[in-house]
This record gives sequence, C-alpha cells and structure tokens, in this order.
Amino acid sequence: MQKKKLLFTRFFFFGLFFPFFSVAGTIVSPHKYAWSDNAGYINFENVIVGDGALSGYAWSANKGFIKFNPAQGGVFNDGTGNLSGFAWGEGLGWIDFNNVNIGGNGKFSGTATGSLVGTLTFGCPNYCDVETDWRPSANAVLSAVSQNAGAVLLPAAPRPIEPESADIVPEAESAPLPQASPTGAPLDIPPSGEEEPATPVSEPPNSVTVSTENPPLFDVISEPASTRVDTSSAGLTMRVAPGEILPISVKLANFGGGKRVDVLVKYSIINSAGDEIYSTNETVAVETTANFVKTIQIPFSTPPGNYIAKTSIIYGGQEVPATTQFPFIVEQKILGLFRSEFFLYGGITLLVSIFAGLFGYALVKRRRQSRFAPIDYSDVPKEDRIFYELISDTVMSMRQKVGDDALDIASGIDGLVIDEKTGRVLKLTRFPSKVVADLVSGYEKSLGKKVSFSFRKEKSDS
Amino acid sequence: MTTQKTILVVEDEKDLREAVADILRLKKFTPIEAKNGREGVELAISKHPSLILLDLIMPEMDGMTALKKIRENAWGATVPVIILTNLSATNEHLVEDMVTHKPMHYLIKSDWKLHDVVTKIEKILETENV
Repeated sequence: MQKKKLLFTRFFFFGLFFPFFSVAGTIVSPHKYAWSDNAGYINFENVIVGDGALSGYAWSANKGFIKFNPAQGGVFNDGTGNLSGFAWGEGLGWIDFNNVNIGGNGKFSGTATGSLVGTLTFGCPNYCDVETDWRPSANAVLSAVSQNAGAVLLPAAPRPIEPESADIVPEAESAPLPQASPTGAPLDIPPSGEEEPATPVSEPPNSVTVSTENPPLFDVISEPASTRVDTSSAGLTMRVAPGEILPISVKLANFGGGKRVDVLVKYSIINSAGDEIYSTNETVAVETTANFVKTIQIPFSTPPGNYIAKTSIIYGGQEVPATTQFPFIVEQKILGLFRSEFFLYGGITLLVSIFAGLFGYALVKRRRQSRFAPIDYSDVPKEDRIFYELISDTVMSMRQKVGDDALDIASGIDGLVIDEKTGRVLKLTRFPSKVVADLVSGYEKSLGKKVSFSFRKEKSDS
Repeated sequence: MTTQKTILVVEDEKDLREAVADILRLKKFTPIEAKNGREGVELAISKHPSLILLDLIMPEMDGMTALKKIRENAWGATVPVIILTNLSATNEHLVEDMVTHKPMHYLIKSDWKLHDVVTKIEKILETENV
C-alpha cells in the first residue's frame, strides 16, 4: 500500500514541477534486444522512455507484444533512470520492472521478472544490451534533441493515472499477479495498427533477396519429434541408441514477412564436453513458416551420455542469431531395450521369477505334506488299527518314492481295499499279517525295492 | 552332568557291529556289543540299555526270538528296539511277530546309511527322554 502511495505521489510531483513538457527517448537501434530465459529475445525497439514512464511496446517473436502502459499497471521512471511498476505481455502476463535501471549512458541494467517471462536480462554477451537515447534529469532534453532520435512531446505530462487505477497497481511483494488480462486492457490491443506495429522494424537488410521495407526476422524452434519421448523424467528427454535415427521437429517462422528467403539450417550434435561430434546442414526456402522433421542418424561410434541437438539458422540480412536446442541421451541397447530398461525389466523379471519359484515350491511342499500326512485310523478297532496304520504308512512311504504306482500296486493286493486317490485303507478282508506280507512282496517284485517300516507310537488312551 | 546313554548293538557281522559302535561313540553314546541273540538278551537284561539295535538273522539265537525274550522281561517290555536286517517282511509270521512285539522301526540294511540309523536312534531317545 505504501508503494501505491509512492506511485501516486511520484506522479503528483511530476505533474506539479513539469507541467508543460516531457522528454521521451527511443531505443538505440543496434541495442534493442533483451533476453528472457523463457521467451527468448525480446525486441525493445518500439519502447519509448519518458522522464516519468515508459510507453510503447516490446515484441517477442514467441509471445507477442508487451505493453508498457497498460490500463492497470505501467512501468515508471523516477527521472533518474530507476524503473518501477509492471508491464503487461499478451503472452507473458505481468512483468515486474522494479529491479531495472537506466544508467547515465542510456544502458538498461538489472532484471525484470515474471512468472511467465522468467528472468528478463538486459545485459548479456550476445545481442542482449538494451540502450536508449534518453538520459536522466536535465540532460534528457538536450540529449534527445541533439541526437535527433527521440521525440519531444509538448505539452505532455507524464502518463496520467487516475487515482482509482493507482489504487490497484499491483505490488511487487503481493501475491502472484493475475495471469489473465485485466478488464479492457492489454489483451484488447490489436496486433497491428498505426501505433502498434505488427512486426518490429529493423534496419534495412543487407540481403538482396528480401524487401528493404520488411526485412527477414526468423525464429527457429526445434524439439524431439518422436513418440519415443521419455516423459517419466523431468522435462522431455529423448533417448536414442548409437546408429538410430534422431528425429528433430523444426519450425521456422519469418516474422519479417512477405518474401521468400533461403535459410541455411545447421544441425549439430554436441557432447557434454561441448564438442561437436556431428553436424550437417540444409537450405530451406521459407516465405512465412516452415515445419518439417529432420532426421539425423546418430553415429554408431557415439559413446553413451548426454548430448544436445542444436539447430541454428543463417540467412541474408540476419541481425541476431537464431538457435534452438534440446537435450537427449545416447544409450546402448541390449536385446532391443535400452540398457537401463533392460536391467530394470530384467531385475523385475528376476524378482518375479524368484517369488514365483518360492511360491510354487511352498505350494508343492504344502501339497506334498498334506498328501503324505499320516492318515488317522482312530475309528478302527484297536486290534486291527496297527495293521491299518502299518499298511497305510507303507503305501505313503512307497508313494513318496515311486509316485502313484504305489497306489496301483496296493489296490491290486488281495484282501486290501484302499481309496485309490488318497491311499486310505478302507478295509482288510483277509488276515492282516498276510496282507502286509503280500504288499511288501508286491513292492519288491514290481518296483525292485525293499520295504522298511515304522510303527506309530501307541496312544495311551487307545 | 548328563549320563551317557547306553545302546546295545546285537549284530553277528563284526565289521558292521564295530562300525555302528564307533559312530555311536562319536555321538557320545556308550555302545554295548553282542554278537548273537543270546548275548544280546543277557546284556539287555543285565545292562538295561536305553535302546537296542537288533539284527534278525544271527547264529545261536535269531533276533526275533531274542526280542520275544526281552519283551517277556518287565524292563524289556517297553525298551525301544530298532530292527536292522536284510530280511524283507514278506512272511506273514514275521509280520505277526513284529506287530506283536512292536519294534519302533523295521529297517532294511541296504536302504539305510549308518549315520541315518544313528540319527533315528537320537530322535527316539530325545522323544522317549530315556
């Protein structure tokens, strides 16, 4: 809230002491690009720097216009180059300029930030150095006039902001700013018009193949073009094996418009050490946009590791480099599976097999135990019970050794009636000792095996 | 301090008898050796071993006769007996005698290793707590 008051006071102050004129500066043509880590290059060419506020538009090839004096925001200048407030990008939402300054030499410094734009940097090595011909304080008027590059607006107070509007200027410390467009504001701005050019104006081109009024300005985007994208990892990381095809989806967009331009597209594979291990290029004719899939065969000798597929374009009249890249992984395959997958699935298969084996063993053991468990004959009269038990245990013992043949042999013994599935002795119709002797003889003759016995311990209650 | 348990080995084959006795000594038992059924009965009645390992076919007195005499003794009625023989129980009278005099096991020599026989002895004595 204190900041809102400060903003209001700031404009009251400017209105009081500079009621008749204001000096505006423009962006110095070669120094017009800032860099957003989310949106790429942003062209500030059509931004006007005033003593009290910034106006006009910046342009992102990817995200569209960024308005500096939207209805419910605005980027303000305290007159000494310290900026504050928020710009509105139609594809980038609110952008906080509180940490941006314009130095005495007209160079922008610091970073603007936003949830969609990420960090907007004004000073970096490659074509990223926004500079204005506006100068702080009293020098501003002279500077603007002498360079004949600015515009003097007479009379014009700093951009007026109604108190109601000032009250809802978002605070930097407040909750995240709305991503939707405020009512009646920036998103209602037409993409083209006299005051809002559809495309950024650049210097006359050097190439003879393009119009001097509307020079080519290309953007290139490349990304993995295969369905074999590993979405389980953070981001999209493609994996290919040496010798396999790496498909790259390429999108070329000519924002300069109009003329057909030959663009040299270069594809490079760069390893984690930064060395280019493979490159190829091709020429593509583009009038407005071109979308195609380029396939690159990864050399068979490529060692496993992390790589970058880099795509860059070169064309006549090019002022800024256009490069895009995405990471991918080269991994050996074993039996048609990537090495990591092979060991993962192999490990899972092995564990499942071990578990199934143990389960099966336990099942068989349990079944075997129940199958060969001694049968209870407590319902048989005591004088016969020992024979029933002796015969039953002998049959079970032989069944463990030779299988169900033991049942077949036993069922063929004269005077012995057994259950042919369980081996339970059902009835003895002859003298029991004779049945036992015949059973032993039967096993010896049929199986060639002698028979040992064990007598059950006699129960005390029987 | 536990007393060493005594095992009576009644076996006419000297080599086998001594081999069994050696293993029993290794297992901390005290073996008593008898070379026929008659000696076996005498030693059983006089020494009251914890268990008797008894062959069936022997000179002077066969094993089953010896078992009958031992069972007739008050002490011998319940002493654990393991028959270790090459004679198959294919004779109904032999079966009848077995059922009557109740040895704990009737083991065919050719099917059993001596160590397994001694293991059975150990299990019986653990169970019987003799």
